[in-house]
Amino acid sequence: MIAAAILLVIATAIYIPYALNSPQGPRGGSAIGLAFGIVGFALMIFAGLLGARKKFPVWRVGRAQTWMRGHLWLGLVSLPIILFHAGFHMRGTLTLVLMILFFTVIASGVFGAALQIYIPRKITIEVLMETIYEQIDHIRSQLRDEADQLATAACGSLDGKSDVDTAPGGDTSASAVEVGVEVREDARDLLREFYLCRMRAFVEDPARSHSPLGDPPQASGIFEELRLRLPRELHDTLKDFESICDEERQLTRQARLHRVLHAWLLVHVPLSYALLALAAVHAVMALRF
Amino acid sequence: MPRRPRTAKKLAQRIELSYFKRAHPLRRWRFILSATFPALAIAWLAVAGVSKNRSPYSMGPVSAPHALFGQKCSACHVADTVSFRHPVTDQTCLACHDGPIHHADQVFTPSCSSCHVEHQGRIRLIAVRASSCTQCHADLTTRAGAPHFVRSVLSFARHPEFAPLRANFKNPGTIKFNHAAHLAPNLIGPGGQRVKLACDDCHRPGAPRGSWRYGQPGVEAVTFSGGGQYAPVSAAISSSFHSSAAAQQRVELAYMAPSTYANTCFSCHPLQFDARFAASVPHDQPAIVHAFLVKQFQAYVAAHPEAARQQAALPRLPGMAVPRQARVLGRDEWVAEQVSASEDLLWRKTCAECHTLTFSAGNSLPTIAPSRITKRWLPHANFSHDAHRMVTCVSCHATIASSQLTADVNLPNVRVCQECHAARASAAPAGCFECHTYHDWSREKVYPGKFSLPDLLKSSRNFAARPPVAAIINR
Repeated sequence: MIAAAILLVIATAIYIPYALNSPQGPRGGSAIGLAFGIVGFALMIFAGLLGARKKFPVWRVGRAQTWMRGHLWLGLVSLPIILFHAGFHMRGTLTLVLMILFFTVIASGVFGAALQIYIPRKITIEVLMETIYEQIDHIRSQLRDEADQLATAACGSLDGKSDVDTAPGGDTSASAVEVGVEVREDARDLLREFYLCRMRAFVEDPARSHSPLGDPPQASGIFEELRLRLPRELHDTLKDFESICDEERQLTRQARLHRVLHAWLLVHVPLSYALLALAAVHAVMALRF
Repeated sequence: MPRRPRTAKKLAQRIELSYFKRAHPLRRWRFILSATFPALAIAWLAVAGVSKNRSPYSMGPVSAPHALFGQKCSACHVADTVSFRHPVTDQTCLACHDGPIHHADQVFTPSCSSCHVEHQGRIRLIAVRASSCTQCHADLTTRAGAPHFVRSVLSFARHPEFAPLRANFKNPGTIKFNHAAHLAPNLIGPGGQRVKLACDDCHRPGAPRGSWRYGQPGVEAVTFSGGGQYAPVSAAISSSFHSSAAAQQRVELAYMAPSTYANTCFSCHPLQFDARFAASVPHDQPAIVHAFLVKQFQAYVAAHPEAARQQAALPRLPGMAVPRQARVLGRDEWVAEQVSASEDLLWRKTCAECHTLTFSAGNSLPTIAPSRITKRWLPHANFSHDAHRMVTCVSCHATIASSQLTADVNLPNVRVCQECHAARASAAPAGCFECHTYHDWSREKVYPGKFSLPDLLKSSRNFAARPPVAAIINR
């Protein structure tokens, strides 16, 4: 940040007298204008190298944190330097496109940097059961299996044909399934119906189910009602169901926050590459003419 | 008590260890877009390149005079034989139009394109920034040593006072004229009627806009088209008028026509020389006036022979009755006597009222000092009265009503101009070029054209959608 600030101060100190004394105003083609252009382009390339640095984390070219700070601050300083280069003008189609790309890249970068500060804190606070984002689908399928096992243990076969005393496959360790609980048939039917009709769709795909279980207060109300209607013997199962629904909601929340946290990269990174490509062409053609 | 304990072991068992081998949608899309966007950008330039369309690289539309070959980059961007560069050199500009040097003693000659910057849209290329001028005039040095002009001019806000208003300036005019007296009410006008003169009774732009109120009937209005080595008003004003007629009209409206006796003085100041004659002497040199008088009196005595025999009044002595004595003069004697009397009236009173006459021994006719009325007070600057016609005369020439002396220079001072022309958004422009011209157009050489019309039209890709060539040329 200090280097960026020093660079900005030096650039500004050069630009002001240059702009005031240039016969036709500051221009990219003048010696100082070209110098600004070269420095600005170099900073853009440096900022773009962060992607390569991430691809090869074992390279001994400085700490990743240092690279990220350089990317942020030097990339930000490249904006005024490029504006100094252009003399705060956007004439010509290519330069106009370049400037639009540049502003978009900088704006998306600043937006992304702000998100990187805000969203992780939010995830830490709101998503206690945070997992690796790419694992969310996998864990969801595990949660669904676990819920199936709990439901089967408490209600018997989920199709309602026969009662079983053990979980499918004989697994009795994973979910602490109650075995041999004496419960009224109508209570089992009620729990089975709740699971199959309301909870299973939510567990399979919380986003599409539009289930009230996705909303914590509503979910709490639903489970509270079930606790009143079901015998005490099934309350532990209900508690497990509630825990699974809570974890599902947290996974949904994490996925949403993760998308917010990273979606700006879909703008920032591709436009950065396009910007670098066009800037290189611009440099060649500007020197040519 | 929940039966789903969240232990590290349980959590570790839930992790799919090969998850990173699968492309996640966000990463997959980032990769696709990262390849697509640069590819689209390069494809855009490639298509433009294949179709020989250079417009993506153009820094903007060229100025109106160059618009016809705006698409023909090679018209100005000439290939450098040494490198791959295609710069615009002075030779390129000078191939079509001259750019005479500013001053013989100048120590620095800027390149054409450093002042006249192209590709900034339909601007006037002569509208250069003040900094083009101040790169030298901020601290003027010349080959001849000390500059003749003010050494440091940084902007119009710091413009020195106009030369005619500086302390050491002397008005070269010799006509005795009192503006205050002429602007007084109830002046005796033609036929003894009372008149109140207005500024435009005597001062009008050169182009005739009706007859002069107090001028001599039948006399054409005099025009003045500026002139001056560094201030070719025609070049400056006509730059936006390719039509020569319109340009000429604007030029003639720029400056006040010189005040002449025939246009402004004739009706109120008749040059009568004798009560017997209705005609006035011509407003001309003494020799011509003398010849006119001789001719008039000769004609008179021919028509009235008795005039030569009439009693003449002899010189009167104080306290004595006037003796009357009949004299009989020859016609020539009579004419000479009458002419002498009339000339005495004219030289001593009528002409001397405005002119400075000197009499020399051995010459019966006086010499009249040249009037030296300044037609253009600021010969190094352009000014258009027509462009300022929305303001009253006295709002700028504030001293005119109290001016009594010929030596008075009633130009508005530079502060009057600076009130309106300033470097603020709500002000009139204050660039040097608004008044001054860099090139000495009196040295201009005319160059033959190098383009053929078909070439130009061919290079103009959208020509069909544009106005006809004549319309462009005459714009």
